[in-house]
Parts: sequence; C-alpha cells; structure tokens
Amino acid sequence: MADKPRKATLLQVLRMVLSAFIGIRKRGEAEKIEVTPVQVIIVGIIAGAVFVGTIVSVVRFITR
Amino acid sequence: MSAVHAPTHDHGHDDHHAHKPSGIMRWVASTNHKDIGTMYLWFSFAMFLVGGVMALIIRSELFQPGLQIVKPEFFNSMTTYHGLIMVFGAIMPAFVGFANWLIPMQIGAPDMAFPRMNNLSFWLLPPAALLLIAAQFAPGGGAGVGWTLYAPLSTQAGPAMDLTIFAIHILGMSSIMGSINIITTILNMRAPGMGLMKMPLFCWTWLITAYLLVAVMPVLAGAVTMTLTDRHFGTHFFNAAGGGDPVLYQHIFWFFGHPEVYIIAIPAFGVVSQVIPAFSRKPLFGYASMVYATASIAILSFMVWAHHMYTAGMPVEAQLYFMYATVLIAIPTGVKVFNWVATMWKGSLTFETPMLFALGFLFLFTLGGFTGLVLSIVPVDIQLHDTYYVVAHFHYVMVAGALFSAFAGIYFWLPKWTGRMYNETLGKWHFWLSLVFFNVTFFVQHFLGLAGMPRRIPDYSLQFAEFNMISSIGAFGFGLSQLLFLYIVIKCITSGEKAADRQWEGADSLEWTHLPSPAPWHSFETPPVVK
Repeated sequence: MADKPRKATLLQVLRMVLSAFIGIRKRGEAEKIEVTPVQVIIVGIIAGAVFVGTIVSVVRFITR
Repeated sequence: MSAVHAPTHDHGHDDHHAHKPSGIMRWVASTNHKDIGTMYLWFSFAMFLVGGVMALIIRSELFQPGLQIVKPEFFNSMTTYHGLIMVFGAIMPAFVGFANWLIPMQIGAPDMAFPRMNNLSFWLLPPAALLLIAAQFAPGGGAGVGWTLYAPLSTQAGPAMDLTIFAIHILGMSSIMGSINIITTILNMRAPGMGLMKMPLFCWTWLITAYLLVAVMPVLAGAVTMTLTDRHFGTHFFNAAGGGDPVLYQHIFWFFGHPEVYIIAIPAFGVVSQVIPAFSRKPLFGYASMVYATASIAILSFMVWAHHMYTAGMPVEAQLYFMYATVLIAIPTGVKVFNWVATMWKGSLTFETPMLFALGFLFLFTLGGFTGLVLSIVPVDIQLHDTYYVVAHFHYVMVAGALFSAFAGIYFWLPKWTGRMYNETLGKWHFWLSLVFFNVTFFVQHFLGLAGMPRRIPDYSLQFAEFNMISSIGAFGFGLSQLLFLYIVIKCITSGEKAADRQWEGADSLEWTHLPSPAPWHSFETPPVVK
C-alpha cells in the first residue's frame, strides 16, 4: 500500500454508507479512507432513519 | 504479531502436532474446528433426510385428491416439522459446518476463538432435534400449527407445542453461541496482513450473517417464550380476550423471520462467490461491491418484515411502505447476480460438479427472487397469500438457493476435507437429477398457486389433480437423488482418488494455497503471512 488511508470526513462516511445501501462500491475508493465502527454505526443509523422516513413520506404523499 | 513464518507446501509438517484423541471421545469432547465442522455437516445431512421423509409423506398424501394415507392432523404436523427441521436442523447447521471448517483456514487462524463453546454449540443440536422428533409422539401428536407457530393455534395446541418451544430455545442458544464465536474469530484471529477487505467473500458473508443471528434469534426466543407463558402462566400477550393481540405474534415472528431468510441465503452467497471465480479462473468481479451489497441486504432485511402479513390486516399506508421497502431489496440482490455473471464473463469456464451446482443456484435463485418480487406487490399478494405460489417461491430460494449452494460447497471442498476426490461422473448425475426433479416438483406449484390451491391442506379439489401428481413424482425423484449424493460422499471418503493440495487451480484462498489435502488436524499454528 503506497499511501496510508486517511481518516474519513463525514461526507466520505456518508458516501460509504449510501454505496452500501445500493451495494455498489469501487474497491479503490473503499481502501482510500479509514473509518471507525462508531462512525459507520452513527451514520448508518441516521441514514437508515432517513431511508425509512423517505419511504414513509412518499407513501403519505401518495395516499393523501 | 512477531511470528512471520510462512508455511509453504511442507506436507505433514503440521501432522507432528496432531495427537488426535481416538474413539467416541474425539467427537464428544471435541474442541477442533474441523471435527466440529464435520459433525455439523453430518448432523445436518441426517436432519435433511428426516425432513425429506416428512416432505415425501406430504407429497404422498397429495399425489391424488382425497385422503388416502395419513390423517389431516398428522399431515399438519408433517408440514410444521418439515419446515422447522429443514430450516433449523438442516440448512442452518450445514452452513455453520462450512463456517467451522473454513473460516479458520481461510483467515489463517489455528482454530475458532472459543473452541469449548464451539463444542457446546454443536452438542445442543442433537437434543433439540430429538425434542422435535419426540413431539410427534406427544399426546395428541405433533403440533400442526405450521412452522411459523402462529397464535392462537400455537397457544391452543397440545403438549407437543411445549417440546417444540423448548427445542427452539435450545436451537437459538446454539446459533447465538456459534455466531459470537464466528464474529470473534473473524475480528480477532486473522493472520498478519489479512485485512478485512482481503478476506475471502465467504468469511465476509458469515461475519454479516453472524450479526444478523445475534440480532434476531433473541427475538424468536422472545416470541416463543411469550407463547409459552400464554399457554401455561396466564399471560395474554396473544389473547384478544385478555387484551392481547394475535397479530402481535406475527409481527414479532416475522421481525425474526425475514432476516432469517437472509441468514440462510447470505452464507449461500458466500459459497457461490468462492466457487464461481474458481471455475471461471478469474477473481470475483466487484469484490468490494459484493461486501457492501451483502451488508445492504442484511440491513434492509430488518425493514420489510410485514410483507409476510399483508392479509393480516394493516392500514394501506403500511402496506405501501412494506411493498416499496421490499422492492428495493432487489437492487443489492441484483448487484450480486450481475457480479457473478460478470465474474464468468470471458473467463476460462469449466463445468465440474461444484460449478454446475453454483450455476443451478444462480439461475434458480434468481427465479425465486423474481417470484418474491411478484409476491411483494400488495394486490398480487392478497390473491396469492397462503397459496402454493408461495410454497413454490420459497422452495426456489431455500432448495435451489441454499441447498444447491451447500452441495456446490461440499463438492468444492470435499477434496480439501477428505484428501480424496469424489466421482465426477456421479457428481454430475447428482446435479442433473436434482435440477430436473427439483423443477418437476416445484415449478408446477406456481401454476397450482395461481389457480388458487391453498398451502397446508391434505386434500384438494379435482382441478388441481394433474399438477399435484407431477409434483409428487418430482419430489420422490428429488428425494431418491439425494441417496446418490450420500453414496458419492461415502465413496469419496472411503475409496476416492487422492486429491491434489490445490485440486482446483482457480481456487486461491489460504486453505488451497497453504495447506495440504486433507487439511491437517491442526493448521496454521503459526500464522501465514498474507501479502
């Protein structure tokens, strides 16, 4: 490994979690950053809640 | 991490340390991951035969309309215990067997993290299996409540239900301990240089599955415990007369039940992700995507449970929510299917038995996934709920998905486990017989379901007669084909040709590149160095 992975910014963790939601991610991108489990869990829970919230609001909008 | 000894192909080097205990105590008191893995696999095959015989009793009765062979109560008991035994006794332990054998070897660890707990995890299974079988002989016979054990049927069933509940408690404990062991092993015992993103995908799928198990097995334990207290201790969790709600049971059960589907499917994905690259002679396409897709499927699996209960009564908003969320799971699953296809693209493909089973998995699991999408659509599901369409759907996922993948894995790793090769011709026979008879059995059940035949009935109207007869013939063919599998495995162990250390030249995980065949009783006492 040439360059050491850098600590991830919030935006990078978010990008990682979102790519997990679709299931598509470049390997190079995955190895570039270093994330801690705490970061993933917090961002993951928030993104999960947003995901559920989005579907719920779509449903609300349709059944209005 | 100072040990940087790189064991190459020094045959028998590890054998010096192998002071195998002999006799029955080798197995009863075993703390060796390979022996425990072997026991898991044989146990699950035994349960596969028991559950298979139950399936054949069901199909015998359904061969013709009218009641010929068994009483309706016994028929109901058969559908119930066929499901329970196949899910908890056959498929899940089979993949735990794979995990025990392979995870330490694939990450370069000497054994599982908690070898004694590993022993306990396994030895809890036989008593649970005995309870499930003993339930048939309880007063009033087995509990004919369906494998989902829905209230209020389950709160009213006879004493067999208590044996069943206890069996599920024990099985749950075993699964949770097994999962803790797997998580700890993978996170803490990887060889130097074996980063998480360098692990074979099989280890990744088991890491994710183990988290799923730890999350949902307690939920199932809670559901059946509430059933138990409703039955005996005067609670009213599921009793509407006492202020409870039977639909609550369905919510709790399926909050476990839907992730359970993925607990079975994800390790199967892992096996296929080892087999397809090996026989395509290419690395797995989109490794990182596969890891992320698996994680995604696992997370989404917690958000979709009520698609199993559209007809139980819920507001249209909830139906829409669960429909949309369910449809979205097709995205990561599609990513995986495309990745497997892309792995084969322009590869040097050969079609030995493991690859045939992996391809059978790929085709038929995709078909089962599609019928799942059909069922996720609320108005369609309201028509098809509790029909044979559902039975066909989940057998495509469970049998052509999980079981075919387990067969692929067994043929793939038999040379490594036993040091001997199976008979390739017979293996191919096993595949083609299984493939044909599987489809004869289950494809026609789609038509039965679309025509309105309900599941879990011992008798049916005349218009369903032909397809049921075809399905029953297929079922007996499928069942008998599995005896060929038993013969192939026994013949391989006793008199197969000597296998090479790296029997499949396309296989590149540590158990093939660093260990002889058969894998020595103790392996990687000094960890290999992974570059």
